Amino acid sequence: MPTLLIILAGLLVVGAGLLTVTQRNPVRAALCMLVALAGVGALMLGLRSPFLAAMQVLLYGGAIMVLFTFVIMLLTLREDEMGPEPSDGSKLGAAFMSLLTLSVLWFGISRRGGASYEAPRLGEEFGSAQHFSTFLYTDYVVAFELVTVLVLAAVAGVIVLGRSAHRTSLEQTKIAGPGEEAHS
Amino acid sequence: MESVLQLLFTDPVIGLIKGLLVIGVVLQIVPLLIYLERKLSAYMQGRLGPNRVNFVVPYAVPGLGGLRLVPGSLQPLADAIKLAFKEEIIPKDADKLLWYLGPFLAFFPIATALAFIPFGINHWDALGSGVIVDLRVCSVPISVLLLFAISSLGVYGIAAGGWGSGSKYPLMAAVRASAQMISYEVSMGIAVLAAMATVGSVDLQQFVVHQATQDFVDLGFLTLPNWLVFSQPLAALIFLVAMFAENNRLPFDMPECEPELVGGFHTEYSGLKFALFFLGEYAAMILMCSLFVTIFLGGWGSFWDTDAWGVFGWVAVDPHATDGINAIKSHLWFMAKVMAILCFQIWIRWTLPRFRYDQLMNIGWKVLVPLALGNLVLTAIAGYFLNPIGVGQ
Amino acid sequence: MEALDPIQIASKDFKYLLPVMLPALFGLVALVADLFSKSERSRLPLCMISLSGVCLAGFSAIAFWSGAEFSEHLAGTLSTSAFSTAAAMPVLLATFLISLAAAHHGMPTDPKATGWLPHSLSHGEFYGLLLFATSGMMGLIVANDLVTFFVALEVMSIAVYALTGLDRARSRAAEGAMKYFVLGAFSSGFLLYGMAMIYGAAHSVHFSEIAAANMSAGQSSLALVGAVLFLIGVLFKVGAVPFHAWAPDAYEGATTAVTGFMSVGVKVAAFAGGLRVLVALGAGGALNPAVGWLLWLVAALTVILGNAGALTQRNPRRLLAYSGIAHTGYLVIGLVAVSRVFDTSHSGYVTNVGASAQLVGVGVDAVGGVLFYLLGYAAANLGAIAVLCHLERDGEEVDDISQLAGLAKTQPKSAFAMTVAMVSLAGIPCTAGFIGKLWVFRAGVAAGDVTLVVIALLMSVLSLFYYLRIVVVMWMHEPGRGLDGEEQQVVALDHRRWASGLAVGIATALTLVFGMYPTSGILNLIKAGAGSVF
Repeated sequence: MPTLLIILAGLLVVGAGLLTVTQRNPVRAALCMLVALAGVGALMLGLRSPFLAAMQVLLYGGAIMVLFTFVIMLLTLREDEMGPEPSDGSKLGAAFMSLLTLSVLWFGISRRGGASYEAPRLGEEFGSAQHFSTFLYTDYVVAFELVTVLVLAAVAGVIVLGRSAHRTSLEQTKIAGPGEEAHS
Repeated sequence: MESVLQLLFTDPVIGLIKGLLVIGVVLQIVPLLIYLERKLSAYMQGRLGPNRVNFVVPYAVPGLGGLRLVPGSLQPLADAIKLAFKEEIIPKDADKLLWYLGPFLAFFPIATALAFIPFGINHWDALGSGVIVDLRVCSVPISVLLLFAISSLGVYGIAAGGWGSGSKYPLMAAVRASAQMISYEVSMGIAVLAAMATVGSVDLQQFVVHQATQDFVDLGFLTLPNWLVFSQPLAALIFLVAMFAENNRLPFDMPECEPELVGGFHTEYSGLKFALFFLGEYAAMILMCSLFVTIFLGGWGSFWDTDAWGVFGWVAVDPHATDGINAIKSHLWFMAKVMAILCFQIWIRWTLPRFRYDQLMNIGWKVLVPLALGNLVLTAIAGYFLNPIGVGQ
Repeated sequence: MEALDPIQIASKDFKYLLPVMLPALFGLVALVADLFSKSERSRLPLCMISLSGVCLAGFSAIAFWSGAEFSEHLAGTLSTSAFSTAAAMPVLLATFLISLAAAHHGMPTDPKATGWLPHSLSHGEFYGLLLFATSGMMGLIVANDLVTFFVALEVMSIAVYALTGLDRARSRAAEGAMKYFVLGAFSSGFLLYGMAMIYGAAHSVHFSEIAAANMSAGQSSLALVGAVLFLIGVLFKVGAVPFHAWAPDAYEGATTAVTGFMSVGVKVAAFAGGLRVLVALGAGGALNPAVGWLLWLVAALTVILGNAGALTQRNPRRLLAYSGIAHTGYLVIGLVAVSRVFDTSHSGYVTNVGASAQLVGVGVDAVGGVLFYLLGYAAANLGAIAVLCHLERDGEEVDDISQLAGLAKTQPKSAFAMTVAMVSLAGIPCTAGFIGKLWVFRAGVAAGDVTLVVIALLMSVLSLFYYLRIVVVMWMHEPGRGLDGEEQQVVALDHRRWASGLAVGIATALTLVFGMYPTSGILNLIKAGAGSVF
């Protein structure tokens, strides 16, 4: 039963991923990506990690992809603004690279010559919220703390990059904030 | 007899019954809610509201015409018939696929998320058969997270519909909706985190059990139950405010504010697709109110204990009993609370004016999020000192 | 592994985390302090915050990390030894010198002007991001499991992406940052794939358990593919060919100070972290001889293409970018030597089963060489960058080496410092660059890769051309007369820029000291660090 779920979810992820790349319409592509991400959530369910699956859908589906669609809609690209259709050469190149990656990965997981392969043994409570958070706050507490630095750096970076070129111009925009503009 | 019931009440069968029940009840409540909203609105504005389509008793007093019962009570039905027969107009520039998908994407996540709400006591001995039934469709230990995960997908319906319409106003509404929902989901999520820390669980049914089985404080003349609205008042307030934004209700109904955006994201929709959007919106309202009730208002638990005076004691829910009457009482308590919060939403709609868009963003990011974070930190500190091993366990 | 109370963990082992967290803490202080400063004032207070953060991190690293053997802390997520301290030194040196060099950026040349110019570094976020990136680098150096490794790598990368695009007025900055970001995200994918496979083969993410795993049983292809994918991710970060495409654009697009920081800091951290994983993989038996030959190929290509690319460059930042690629190539020779230690086709190779003293000696030598090379490269490269920062006027930076014409006459001190830096980068005796190169090449020869070392030597001779061209331009051309005889504006001497001058002085002094009189303290640290890796 979990194997069937994993196979189906895997097919869903790959199919939706392909559609994401091949779709020309950006919103459709974003929705396909959403399906792919939800499929990854299903994969995690199949791997006995319901907590992670919920987080995957909550964060990627509920937050990150919403931002994607938001930006796509904000830009509202017209058909002629989307750039030329990729040439056949680059499509072939992409297909070749994908096949190459696939074959390398296949070579890896085919465990050629590997005598006996055992999956790591997991406890019964593996994947539950309690188990997960216990790990997060004890064994991986350093990584967890570093993630806070990561987010801080990302926020600072986004603010500094999103700001207008110089601080003086920022102060000018402050004088006429969005609210005041709406009224004038 | 008992064995037949026990054979019948297998997990899939019970799940199916509960699922159909929830969807059926919610679908029936929606027309009622629309009627209620219109009537209450009318009352608050000194109007009559819908009053033309009634149950009519034709053989009433001659000369006075038929006896009209509950004026306008059949209005929702008439509306439904009207919508079903309305001409469907598809804009020329519409993206057909997204146009068709939109209403479904708006409704189904909400309907799915309803499966996690405990609408009654967690151990009902079904019809005395000995099969213990948990009165919610989907009993999973991480139901809060799953509920948020799935209901947060509802915004894609608005996005797909707005983009797929190929028209300016729906697009702007969709942009606003996605920005607004994501902004308020943050503070709502953090508020719920504080509640989770207090209860020590991510299971909605555990939330209710936690609130129903303990007392918060004895004031002498009144014993307050351990509802989170008392122990986490700030979180409850933040959740309540964010709830309005999540439901696109006034005062935060940016995605469909009529003076600016014609009709919002569904401007171009008509007929049954519009009806489905409408349905999704009201289902979302019910979902959010149920969630608020479950997390902060004790869910199916009663305000007082069974040992209260006289009829009060009889009405109260015993969180440990398994009999059918108790289960029905628990469900009625739940429904009553949900209806009260729904009425509160309608009341607010006619009390507060709409915020400007930048005000909306300021409230979301500069007021609610810092407040929610502060509340979470306080909860964590308090939890560490009150119960260092594990809060609420 | 038993679950521990987090408070208990923190109080017991927290000091080992200090060198990682102190930069982040001071970065936060810098961000907040920036709220109270105005853009037209100098950046010196922020610079002081940054310097104190770096110094405290350095002291705590020396105090807490410098054990002779690796010891694990905080539930096995960190492991520290003299190796960590030795690798942390160039990183902290980079942050220290770049903080100083950038302090007077945008100071108006007109001494009577009141306000400072608005410019790319005037955002307080510069120091904040600098320190966050430093924190990530320190984390990368001491990470003891793949999860911490990846998070630290991303902390470093995200901060550096943002730093690259800091100069919003120039479209080249946006281009460089975008390329770096997209390709960096791509390489993170490789890295993660590799980690997943390594985990699958070793059943653990902890380096010590990976090293103890027996992955060579039946030539497990899983471990091999994992190791290769992982190394691709690391090689991208250090800018080795064929994963170098981002480097010239990112280095040229970034402000000079940022170029210096990322060329040194990222390289040091990625090499140090990569080395630890490489050794763990090797001990676990995941390094097929093919991995060694792949690294061999990468080293050869990187050395050749890096030096060839630098020949024609006239933008000093772009030149330093290609030269940085070339130096990556020399450093990869050290990785090749380390991977040879675990080569099953050698007799008496090392796994967790048995070790050959001679080969281990080669490995230790290679690691020591890489560590010293990184230190020397840091001093020399930062010296060159500091000179370029010192010559910035009114926000205009040196974009063509013609602008350095006759610098020896107008600003002899800067010209001398630049000369020392160039000579050290070229690897001429009496400088740190020479000793580093000698050390790494010796390890390469000892590991049996004579051909590779010969290629590197030839290319090293070739590199003299472009390094010495700058020296020639500075000392033999007339001021104001460029390479093609065209008019150039002479960069006037500005005595008020003491901070960048100080950075230049420190870097030059270190380059010369490491080259002529490598003190026993530094050498012992590096040798102890190298010894603790195996």
